[in-house]
Amino acid sequence: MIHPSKSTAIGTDLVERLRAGDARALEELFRQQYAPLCRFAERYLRDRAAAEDLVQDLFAALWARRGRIDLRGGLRAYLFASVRNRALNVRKHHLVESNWERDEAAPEVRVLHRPPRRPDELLDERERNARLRAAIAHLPERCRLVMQLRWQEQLTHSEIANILGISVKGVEIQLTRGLRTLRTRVRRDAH
Amino acid sequence: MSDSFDWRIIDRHLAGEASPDDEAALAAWLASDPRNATLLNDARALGRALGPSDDAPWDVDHAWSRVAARMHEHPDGDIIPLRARAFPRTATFARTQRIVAGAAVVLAAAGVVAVVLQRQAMRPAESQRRLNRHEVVAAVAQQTRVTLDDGTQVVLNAGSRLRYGDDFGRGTRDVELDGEGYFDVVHDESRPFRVHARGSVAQDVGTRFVVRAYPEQRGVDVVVTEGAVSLHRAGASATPALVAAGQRGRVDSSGAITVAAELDLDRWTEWTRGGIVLDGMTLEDAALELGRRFGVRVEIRGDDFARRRVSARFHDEPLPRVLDALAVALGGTWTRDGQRIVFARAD
Repeated sequence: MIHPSKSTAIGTDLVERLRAGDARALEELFRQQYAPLCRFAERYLRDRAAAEDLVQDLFAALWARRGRIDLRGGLRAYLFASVRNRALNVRKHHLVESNWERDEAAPEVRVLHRPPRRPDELLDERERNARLRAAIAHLPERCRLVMQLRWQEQLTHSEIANILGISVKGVEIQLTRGLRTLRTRVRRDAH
Repeated sequence: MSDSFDWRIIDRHLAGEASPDDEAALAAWLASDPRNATLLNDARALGRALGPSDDAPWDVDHAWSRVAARMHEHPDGDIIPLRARAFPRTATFARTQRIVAGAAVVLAAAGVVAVVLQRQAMRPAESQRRLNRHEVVAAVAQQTRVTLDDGTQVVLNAGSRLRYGDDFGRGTRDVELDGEGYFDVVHDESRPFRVHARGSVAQDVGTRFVVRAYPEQRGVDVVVTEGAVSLHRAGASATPALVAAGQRGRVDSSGAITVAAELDLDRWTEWTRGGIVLDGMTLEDAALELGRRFGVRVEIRGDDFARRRVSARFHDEPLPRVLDALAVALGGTWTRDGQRIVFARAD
């Protein structure tokens, strides 16, 4: 059910060109996916510079192994899954204050670790975001990851399932869960 | 707000996958209750609320230039992030073919080795043509381990690069090193292995050794952990200097070669196991070493302070702890701003 005009989709010709060693294909892919992948990496690492390093390393490795990578799940899912794997590895080595694999399934992680926000943000947006975050604070981190990958990065259900190592059904459960939580809040606030 | 509304339509809409039918159904749903629009907007805003706190745009151009610069890395180069434990305690490589050298340099010991240091052995044009085709890079805060086509294993320390030509292994095996590398060379008498480092050339016929040639050093160090070594410079008619296992040969900036017993071999190979050795070097040089290792820029305030000598060893310590230890030892203090660290005398 992928919409043909979806801007986030990666053309199959790009994959072919990449495999054939076309450097421009790598650049195209990089420019398309750099920001989404950095955003995703930052969720795990909570460090903007480390997130950028991670994604750059990933692309350097992708180029070096371009002929040998397994892309059965699609290139985009491969990239996001690689970011997650690398981020979990990094965390294993030097962010030992919590176990993210466990955290993913637990609530409150993001709330506990959230970095301070910039003071110059628009108050409106800050308030709304604060309200939203409060509303979803009790949800598992995995639910929030699924919502981000789906509604911000616009990945398909099966791509998300591949990336996070859960079932497609699991992805759907997390999405309904997120929507239901938002709906409850909207109803309560309206009273 | 109807509970019976199909959540999958909202989901498809938010993910950019909605069909015209979906959009029509959604419009009707939105019109049925004002709270539905709030819900939809909240879900749409959720991505941003979840995302990073800093909305500054990513500098994709700059990031791409960094990746593009790495596209010539050897495909088999295995990058080892340094803050990850880089290397097993035993840094010896499994060797399948170990051939004892002996013909070129006649020494009694098994595993005889000749390392020949030559200055400008190749003309620049030739060197360009022959050596610059492949590149293995260890960026700052990384080490890279690579197996060359001949089976030779190389570990590159942070901030180092190794280049070689397509003709590597045809006739000779020439590599060019910037920085520091640990070499475990598979012997092949008919194809000498030569490391060109900052105008010098180290030639090997089967051994393990470290070549350290970072720009701030006033010379090139070759430390042999196994086998033996013969040093000389191209164009120099002087008798080669022999360096046995457990010795260090040093070519200083004037080209003079000295050979001395190296009682502390570990000091030279500790980096392959994730360690950092600051061995009586100036604080200024230590700052360069730490900068490469951790991918930061360390500035030392004060010329006198920068010339202070420092000796210390670290293993797996994170950068803040290393800096704290140095600060205590030297009576200094440090501050960090992103990738920039300022180290100054404490007042």
